[in-house]
Amino acid sequence: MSASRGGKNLILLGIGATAIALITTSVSLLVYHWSGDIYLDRSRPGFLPDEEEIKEEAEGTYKFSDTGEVNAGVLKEYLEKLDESTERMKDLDEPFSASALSDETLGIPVKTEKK
Amino acid sequence: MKKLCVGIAFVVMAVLCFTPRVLATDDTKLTDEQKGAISQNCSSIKQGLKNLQKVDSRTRVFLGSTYRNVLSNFVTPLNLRLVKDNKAVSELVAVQTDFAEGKDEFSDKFIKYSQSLEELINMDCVAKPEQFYEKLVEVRKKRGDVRKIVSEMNDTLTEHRRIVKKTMEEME
Repeated sequence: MSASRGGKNLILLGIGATAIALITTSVSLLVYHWSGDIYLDRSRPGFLPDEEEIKEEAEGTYKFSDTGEVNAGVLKEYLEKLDESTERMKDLDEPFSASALSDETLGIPVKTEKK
Repeated sequence: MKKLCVGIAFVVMAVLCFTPRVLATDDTKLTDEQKGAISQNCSSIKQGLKNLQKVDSRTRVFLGSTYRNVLSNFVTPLNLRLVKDNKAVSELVAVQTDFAEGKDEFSDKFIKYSQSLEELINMDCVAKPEQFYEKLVEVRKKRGDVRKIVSEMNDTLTEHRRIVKKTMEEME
């Protein structure tokens, strides 16, 4: 009788633990979605970074020192390094361009007349 | 006088209530040909949107990391160094604030755009081409908001370069 009650309690404990895990996981996923973090997360399937991107990140970046004298030479070097760091932005051909969502691109016939 | 006030209020209410609807309807009203094309090409349109979602995600990561790098490795340390050297430039401090705010705004706008794009991808464009197109118009607007902030960030960076160059010339 005592063993049977123990078994029942064990089952209840298992069900309770699973229910708590399900609830907390669901809440976490909802928060992840509602907060918009899901759209910034590239670890989800289909959005993983390419090998090239990982390599670029691992290369390390320059940091301008926040101590020392500031003179024309220092500022000249600063501008050179800043240009180097932002050079790849020029390669982006119109980021978030309107044409990517145009009727033509999506294969929707363009309106020729207004009703 | 009372009648005049009531009349003006009525006109204002009518303008507020009906103008946006008229514009939206005009903007999103589809011809039968367009409705048919959306329903017929639904799967290919959705595939195109999914591909765009991935490209945009990559662009967001690239721009976001570039903005973060510029702010934390260039703009902020430069201002700190200028302050420590008693050569603080107020214009550069203002640009730092604009850049930091713009970086956050970029993330917010991107999230809003991505949420709308995902809703669009999950819509039934075979059965509801008109609702799908209305949502597409909304997504286009939100994409435009992201594009605008990217352009503003570029302008802020250009302004930062200009002020640094001017400061450099003054020091020479």
